[in-house]
Amino acid sequence: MSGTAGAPEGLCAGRISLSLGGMTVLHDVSLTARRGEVLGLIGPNGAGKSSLLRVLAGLRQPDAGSVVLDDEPLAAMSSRRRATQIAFMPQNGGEPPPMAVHDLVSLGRLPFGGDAADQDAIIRAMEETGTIPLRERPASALSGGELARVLLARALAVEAPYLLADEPIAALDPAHALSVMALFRSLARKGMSVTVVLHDLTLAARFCDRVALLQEGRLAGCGRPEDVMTDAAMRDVYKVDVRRLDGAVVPWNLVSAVSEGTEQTS
Amino acid sequence: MTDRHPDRFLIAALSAGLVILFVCALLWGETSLDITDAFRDLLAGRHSIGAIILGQLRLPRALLAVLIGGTLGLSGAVLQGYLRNPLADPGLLGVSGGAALGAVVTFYTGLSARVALALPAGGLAGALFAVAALIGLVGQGGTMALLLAGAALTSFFAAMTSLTLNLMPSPYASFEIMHWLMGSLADRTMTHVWLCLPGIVAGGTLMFSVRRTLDALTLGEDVAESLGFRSSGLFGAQMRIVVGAALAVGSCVAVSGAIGFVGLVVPHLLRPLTGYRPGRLLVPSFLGGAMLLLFADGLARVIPTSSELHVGVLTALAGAPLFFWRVIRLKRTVT
Repeated sequence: MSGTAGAPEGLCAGRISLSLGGMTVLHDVSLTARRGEVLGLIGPNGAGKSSLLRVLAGLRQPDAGSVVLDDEPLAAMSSRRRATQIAFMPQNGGEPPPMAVHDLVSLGRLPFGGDAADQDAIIRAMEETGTIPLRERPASALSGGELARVLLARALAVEAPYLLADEPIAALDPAHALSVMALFRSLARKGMSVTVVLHDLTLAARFCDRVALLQEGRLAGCGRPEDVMTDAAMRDVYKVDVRRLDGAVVPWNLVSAVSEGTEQTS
Repeated sequence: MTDRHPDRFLIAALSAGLVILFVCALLWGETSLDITDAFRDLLAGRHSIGAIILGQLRLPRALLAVLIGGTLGLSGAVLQGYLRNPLADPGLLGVSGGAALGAVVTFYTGLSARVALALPAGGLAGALFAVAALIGLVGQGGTMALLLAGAALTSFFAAMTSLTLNLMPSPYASFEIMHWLMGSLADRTMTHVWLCLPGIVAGGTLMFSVRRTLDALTLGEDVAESLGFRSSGLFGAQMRIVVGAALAVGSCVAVSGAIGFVGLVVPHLLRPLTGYRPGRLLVPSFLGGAMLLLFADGLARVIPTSSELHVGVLTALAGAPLFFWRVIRLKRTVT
């Protein structure tokens, strides 16, 4: 996949601004999700991470700016072509349908023809997420963690080069969260672009090739985790002091608590 | 991997059941007749008693049962899939109320007594008016706008129907209206079939066109849109569902009166057999709805009562206990 000379390859958001209900949720945000890397979108609640992800997925038109996919404006792309290029996994919410897990995963193949290749893609997605043993179970009877993996399998079944996932590990225990982040890394090593909204700073620092830090709808930083997730940035954006344990970033105290002299020692 | 298309067997079984019921509906009646002779006469254009009974009484009635029952089942399945609510029913669009009001107005003005087809034509006009009002009200709004617009239209048309009944000069006409509103397929002719057919075909085609969109919507509008299926917009799924269901159901109510519970019960019963895939539910729901109405109409014809039972009464009588049973089962599962 190659763009024309000078055009950046990847899913590029250029100077995106967006208002919802009279509130500015994104202001002049530019970033690129590249093939072969895991990009983490981090920031406190309400920073605009999910809105940015939806704009990148083409699900919401920005008020200003544009999204370009490998040199092709997303707005000019047919919805069917976009569906084969970008897989989107929203935040898990609502009651899952009682359909069998295999059928739910197969929904990811709806943009395609419905041939044998679909069956292979479904099996691959279920193998990668460890959901094969669940294939006959109704989705409504799954635990939160199982459901999260099944919904990820649905998104992977599209086999799109770009995956956008909104808090995919929010409902997972540490072991499953680690395995999903490791899966994202391995997908990226195979040439995919994975953009993922994360609240877990430790996993973001460990598994993301780059992170984009959002603060009140603005991009406060974008780059390698160690360059972006500095102590000063964590204090400024998250209002927390962090400690670093073996390279992991651990939120430790509220900034206000520190300033009031109530820091607890361990 | 297990067979992923058990619905093929379901469709085959339902089709076979429908054919059997259809043949029974043609054979079944007060007058016994040689069906093969009657068919031969009908095809040859001979006006024998058998050909008249078959061609002008039994065939149109059976065809209407298939078309109307099928449409109600299909519309129920589409609306339940789109709204992701297993209790959605074609009646919630308000179009049945519009058709009923249109028909009642023809009673009120005396048109129905003077012109043979004024009643279904009035029903159709009322349904079309309701479709236009529904589209105007819903516009680009989402499912909540659709539900609210349907509720508003239903209560408005019900109030206007009550007002018309209230002002009706002749008590006999009020009685006639009450009977018509109960829903029946008695004394309908091939003209009624031709009258409702265009709306049913056009509406049914629109509803079938959203089959894959309904599957995509299972995980919400964001996932559906990311898979390339739009629900909003002029040619989006919502507009096709609203126009399709409203046209088809309005055309049905115009010729049969309001027949309840078919659109609610049939998809509800068949859903577990289609793996809870809303797109797979459409064809079985059409066939199941057609079967249910053919069967109910057959019962209406043979149950000995002083005046023939209305099929709408029978479907409601059969539907209510089913929901009682579902409530009891639900309580058992929960406790």
